[in-house]
Amino acid sequence: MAKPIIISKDNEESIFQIKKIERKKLYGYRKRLAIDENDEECKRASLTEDGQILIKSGMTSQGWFIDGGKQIESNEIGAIDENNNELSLIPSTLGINQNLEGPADPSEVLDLSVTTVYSILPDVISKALEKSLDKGEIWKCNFNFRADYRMESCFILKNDTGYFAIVGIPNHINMLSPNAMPPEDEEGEEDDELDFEMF
Amino acid sequence: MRKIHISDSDSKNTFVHFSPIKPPANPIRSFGKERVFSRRLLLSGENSDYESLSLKYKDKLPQILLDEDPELDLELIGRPIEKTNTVFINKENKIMKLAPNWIELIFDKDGNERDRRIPEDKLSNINDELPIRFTKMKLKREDAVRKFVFSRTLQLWHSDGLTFEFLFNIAKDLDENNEMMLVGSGEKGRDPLIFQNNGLPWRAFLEGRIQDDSYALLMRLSNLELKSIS
Repeated sequence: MAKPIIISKDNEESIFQIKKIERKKLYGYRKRLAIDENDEECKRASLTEDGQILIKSGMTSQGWFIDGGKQIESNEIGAIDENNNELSLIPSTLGINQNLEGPADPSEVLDLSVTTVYSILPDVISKALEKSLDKGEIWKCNFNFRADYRMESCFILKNDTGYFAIVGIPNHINMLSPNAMPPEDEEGEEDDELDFEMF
Repeated sequence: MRKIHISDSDSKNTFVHFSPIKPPANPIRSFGKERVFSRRLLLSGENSDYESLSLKYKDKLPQILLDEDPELDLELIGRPIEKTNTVFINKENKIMKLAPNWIELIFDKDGNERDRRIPEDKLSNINDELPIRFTKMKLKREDAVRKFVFSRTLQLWHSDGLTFEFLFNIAKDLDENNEMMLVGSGEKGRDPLIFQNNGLPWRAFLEGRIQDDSYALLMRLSNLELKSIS
């Protein structure tokens, strides 16, 4: 079980247990299955270009290398930004008190590239935070599920069904003037998963 | 750049460009300041994976693993994998010569199989003769973010003065009223949007922003309601 989210508003602490929300758990899901002429299930595999090796699931692993071919162990891998500056490892925020900022504007939530959504269950909730969330206000804090090189933003809010934490990376929105140049073409992203009805 | 066919509240319609809003790039993996790259490597051969060895040695496998190391195919282990072709294998692990058929399995939220059927193709519906239309459902921004998870955003782009005015006016109207408008496709204009054939259906809300003579008309996409799970 993951550690809780601990957040403070006006120096009063609130503690929430977290539960990840997934589409599958709300709506169910669909899956496509390949079958042969006898209606038996078939599995996807890979064949090397020379046709010599059939690669089934679980037969490969990923290795990390630098130019020149030296292999790097996973625990030696760090991170740099686009300007080649080394980044520090940011510890997990779970179980560590985070100060709330806000109330946040709803457009900040809209401008988030959402990575994870949690249903959060209060073990302890301060009166001030409860009252504010009941009024429909939204609060923001730092969030990092596990130690990595980028801190995410977390928005705490409430609706008729419960409390939620919406986690992600803020996006930048370009305002378009009359002479704005259209962006460069990009390949569309493919989604393998099929949908189940939401409405 | 892809186009979407859209109409406004007065049923005026046109084709406009759209592009996804993407988050800042992830940090780059490195060793010190040197970038690292990944390669896929073989861990075992076709006949030395657990499934094959288990079939061959059955309950003697643990002892044989200790004594003879049959899982180690030194000819293959560590070999980098470059380009491959996708194939399908049958239950005897033989490569199929004919393309497989497909069935669709439907599972409920507890993971129980509810149905299986022949899959139907779902065609993209954003560039049809019928434009995407406004529905009667409008939500204030603060209500929308508490009802839906918006996991993707598309920005609509003008290509000339007429489409600038068209999109600017939609954005202005929505921004001034602090509203988001649900749009839909199909004959009744109520169907979710499908951006590519057999892609996910999305509920789409338009959100507008105005700053002087600039605008942003954003299509916020959701396939998840904000509901607590028990």
